[in-house]
Amino acid sequence: MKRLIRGLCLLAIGAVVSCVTINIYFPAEEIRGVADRIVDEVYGEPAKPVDKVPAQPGSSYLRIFEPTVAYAAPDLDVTTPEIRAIKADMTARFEQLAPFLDSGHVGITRDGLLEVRTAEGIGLKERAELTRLIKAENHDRLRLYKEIATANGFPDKVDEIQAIFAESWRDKARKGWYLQGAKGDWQVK
Amino acid sequence: MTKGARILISSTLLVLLSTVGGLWLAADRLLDGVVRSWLTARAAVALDAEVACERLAYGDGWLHLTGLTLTRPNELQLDVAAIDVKFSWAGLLQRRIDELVVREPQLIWTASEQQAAEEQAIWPEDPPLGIDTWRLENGRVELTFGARNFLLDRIAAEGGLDRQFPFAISAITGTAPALPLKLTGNARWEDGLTLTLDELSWDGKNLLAQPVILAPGSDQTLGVKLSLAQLDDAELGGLLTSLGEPVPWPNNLHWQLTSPVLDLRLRDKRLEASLQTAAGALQMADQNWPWLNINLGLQGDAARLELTGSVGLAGATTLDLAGTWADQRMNGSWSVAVASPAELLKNVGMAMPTSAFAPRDLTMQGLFEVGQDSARISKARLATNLGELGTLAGDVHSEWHDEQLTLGCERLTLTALDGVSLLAEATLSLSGTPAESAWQGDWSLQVIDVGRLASKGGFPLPDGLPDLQELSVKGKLRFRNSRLSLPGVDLTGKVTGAGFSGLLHGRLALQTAPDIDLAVTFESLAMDALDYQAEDGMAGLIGGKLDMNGRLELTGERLSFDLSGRVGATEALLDSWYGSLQELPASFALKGSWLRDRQRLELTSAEVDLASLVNGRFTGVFVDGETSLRGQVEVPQMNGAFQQTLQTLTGELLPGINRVSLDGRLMFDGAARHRQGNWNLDLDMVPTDVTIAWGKDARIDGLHGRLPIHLRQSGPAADDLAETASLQWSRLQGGLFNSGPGRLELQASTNRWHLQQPLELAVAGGKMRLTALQLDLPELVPQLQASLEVQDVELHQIAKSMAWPEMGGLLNARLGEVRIAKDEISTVGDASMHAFGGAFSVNNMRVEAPFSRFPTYHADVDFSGIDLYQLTNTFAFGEMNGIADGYIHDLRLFDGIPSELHAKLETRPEGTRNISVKAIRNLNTLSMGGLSAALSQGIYKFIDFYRYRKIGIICQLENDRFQLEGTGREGSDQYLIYGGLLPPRIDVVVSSPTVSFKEMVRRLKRIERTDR
Repeated sequence: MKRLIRGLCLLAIGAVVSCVTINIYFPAEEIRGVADRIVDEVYGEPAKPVDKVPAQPGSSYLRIFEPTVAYAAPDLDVTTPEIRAIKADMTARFEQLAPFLDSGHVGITRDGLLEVRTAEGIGLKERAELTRLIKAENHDRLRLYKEIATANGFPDKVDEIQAIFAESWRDKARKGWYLQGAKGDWQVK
Repeated sequence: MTKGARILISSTLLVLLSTVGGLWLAADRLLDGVVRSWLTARAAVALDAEVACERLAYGDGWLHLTGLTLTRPNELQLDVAAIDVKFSWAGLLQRRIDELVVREPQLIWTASEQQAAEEQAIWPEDPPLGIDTWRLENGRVELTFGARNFLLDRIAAEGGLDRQFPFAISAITGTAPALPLKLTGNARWEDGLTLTLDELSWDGKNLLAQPVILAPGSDQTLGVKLSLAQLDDAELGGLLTSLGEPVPWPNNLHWQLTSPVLDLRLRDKRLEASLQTAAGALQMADQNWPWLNINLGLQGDAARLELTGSVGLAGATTLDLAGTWADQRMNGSWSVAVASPAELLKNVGMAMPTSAFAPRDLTMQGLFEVGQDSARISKARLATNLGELGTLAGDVHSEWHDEQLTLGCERLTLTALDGVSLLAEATLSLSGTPAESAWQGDWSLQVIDVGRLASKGGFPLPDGLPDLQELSVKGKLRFRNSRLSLPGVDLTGKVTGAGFSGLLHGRLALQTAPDIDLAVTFESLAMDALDYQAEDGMAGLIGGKLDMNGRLELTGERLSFDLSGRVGATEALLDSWYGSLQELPASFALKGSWLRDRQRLELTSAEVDLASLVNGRFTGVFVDGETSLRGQVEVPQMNGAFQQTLQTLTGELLPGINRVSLDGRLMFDGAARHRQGNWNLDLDMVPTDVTIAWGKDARIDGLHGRLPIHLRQSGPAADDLAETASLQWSRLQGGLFNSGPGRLELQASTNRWHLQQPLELAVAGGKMRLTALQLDLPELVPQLQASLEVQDVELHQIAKSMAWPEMGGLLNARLGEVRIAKDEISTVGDASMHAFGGAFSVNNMRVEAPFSRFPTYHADVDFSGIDLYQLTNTFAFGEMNGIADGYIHDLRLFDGIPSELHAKLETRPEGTRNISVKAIRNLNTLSMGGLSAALSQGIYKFIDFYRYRKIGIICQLENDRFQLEGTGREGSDQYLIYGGLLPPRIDVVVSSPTVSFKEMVRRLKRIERTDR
């Protein structure tokens, strides 16, 4: 009888331990690192080393009893011609946009896009140019997210990439820039 | 009795008897000779007049006096035909006579009004004598007081004279009209005379509701109390007229007093009078002002009379008066309090506007002064509560003199409920003749904030419209013959709010006419320095200007307008579009009408001209929820100024347009309609000899014809009709084609155009045939479908045109269905090309984001039988011989650079197969082999060509990783070139099969450098 019980226990433990799910996960941290690098490049900040990917779940002893997820961590590809071209455009454009961000005329929205916060003190012609700049920049940012998603095999994760990039655009915003708050208001960083 | 006494008595009796007998015998002579003279003399003295009597006689108990005249020169003339007195001696002793008859007395009395006023009746305590009956027959009285005449004719009266007696009087008053007058009553003469009039009928109407008591009393006391059932202007006017008195109120003023009670008392030369009515009404023109009660009191003496009183009107309205009459003038104060103006107006047949600013109450008080020929209201203060709108208050004064009335309202201010904020201020100064209804004057109005005022008044300005602040309007006012005109009205103000700012000024005139309710003539109406900025600042206008003149006419429900003017601005912004509009003034002329009751705007004629570059003519109807517009828009000359302006205005957004040159005339003719949220557009675009050139690359000349445009926001309807049209041109030139006259036959239907007949163009030695073309605008998102065939187009012409390396061959394509929709151009057809001795087939062609900064091209290319000799010569890669097959699938070109592909090239194991050293070096460069040095050493340096058995290359570009494999040798993935069987033999193998695309580009550039 004891043997039988012991056997059943071992079988159960074995069953639990052997519950392995193979999952191509969404590499949020890697994306975050990529976003930081790209944002640094665009903002003109020196690129920082990629943050070390945190330990994967399952390292805890107790978690031995949890279903194990095997992460297939892909190498993120952000050097395709599309991404390079878009980045180059954004970097070049940023020289024109930076003064407007510094002056507070342009702010960064919650979704990481640019928006005219106030046009006060700007002539109509400059406003038109600013609008074109912002439209082009926002278009490029959205396309950048799409290209990153496509190049790395998760084309349906564009929104998630945009959310991660939004954090980077905002976190790395310079002091004095305007960031849109949760209620749509503008706050100085 | 003594003898002497008896003798004396006897003698006396004898003398008396003799005297009486003598008198009896000579009575007539005595009466007519002595008594008449004595009496007339005494009367003359007593009455201070010339008195004459023709005859005095006695007979049958009657004393007859005939031909009595009494004259006071320039004052009084009394003629009495006869006076008959019946009496008895006993009665005489009791101071009574039996009967008195006065026949045909005629009295003419002329006196100044002052004399008449000073005449005082003296009434004894008791009747001086008693008369059983008296009668007056056919009398006549003519009284003249100053300018006033009073006539009583055919007077008949009868009565008695005692302590109590009845009396009755009838007469005819006046001549025009001659009104019968009748009085009956009773008199009581004890301790003064008191008359009780039981009946007072005038013109056949009894004026008394109850007996009137006249208490003249003594010479110091007079009391009259009249109580009438009703008195109106007609009755009193007729009475006054018959009395020779002027009617003191305007002809068009009618009034009525119900149950008036007039109590008059004159005591010790002091008058105490009161007038009370239960109800009444005042009517003037169409206005009827009923009043509830009148209580007026008057007291004082001839030198000074005090008036107090109140008039109660509907709407809990009270008019209080207090004044003093002295020196022929009355001065005093008055006040009006209206608790419910709406109720007051309702009672006079007027409706109070139901707006929020209808007066809740109204008070007004001031001073008044009334003289014989003038009246004045001064220091009057008006205050009214207009509800949410605030309080209206101001100073009012008025003066009437010589039938001229002046009216002034000053500092008429409208203050908000907080009691501090001034909303509006107005002044009014009028003078005129009320009798002629003729007025003229000046007025002014200042409104601090028209929008705020309108909002408080319940008429908020529509969202998005600017407000008008500091509005100042002033001008003249004229009113004559029921026509009001406000000429010379000057207007200034500031346009502000909703993003607008600007200055408004103008001069206009308003007037009414018999057939026009209101006409407004704008001599000028201008808005200067008009700026507009959207809330987000990304749309705006600077330096806007509007100059307008014309006329508005309001007749009943129709407002007609005839306006023309010019508009312009210096700069404009709309999102990312900016335009300098300094050279683009526009003029307009609008004629039409607005039917207020039907909410219908009819535009009978509208002409717009934009800097002589574009002009338009429209007619239209705008009804609530439905708009229809018909007209033409024409660009008479597209070259020159129009082209430059178009390029200036759109160059920032469409940089390529600066290469466009235009010529000819373009017109749009048609109609637009908006109904139930959907709009339809039916236009004909009519080009006339139009030229459109795109630099030197393409041009179309002599374009003419007609292109119908039918757009429906709601999509095609079942009963929509299609129509055919054609566009012709004299010349069509592109990079590859250059054709002469041509024609495009189209069928146009709702939201759709499609080709009716194929269009064939000669292209680079071949031809291009557009077999189908259809443009759809479902929900206004364009979708283009086309079928294009290209036949036998010579590649060398294409290469020359595109500056490619020279190549030969023919291009054929059958792009079965080309679709342009949203952000993609795609085709299900294919293109075939015969070049380099082989065939190329291109499929799955697709362009993503074709109009963006980075268009992306997709295609699959298959090729077969390619002569490597021709190919390598064309691209200077290094000569190779052989026949190759292969493909480039999943080709993706981003910004002209491959970003993805799967390609394969393999030579056939047949024919001449050799490869030049240059080609080997280049292939080696791509594969990063270390062959270059070996080829320069030993025997190899003398060999230019090497034979090979097979060239096999598979390359794959994906995610910036370029993977190169060689399939030249079976069983290996490293041999790009599998060398020939006999020496000298050379193989090229892949040393680094995977490199970044960046590295591959570097290698290709190296090849390019080597080639130079």
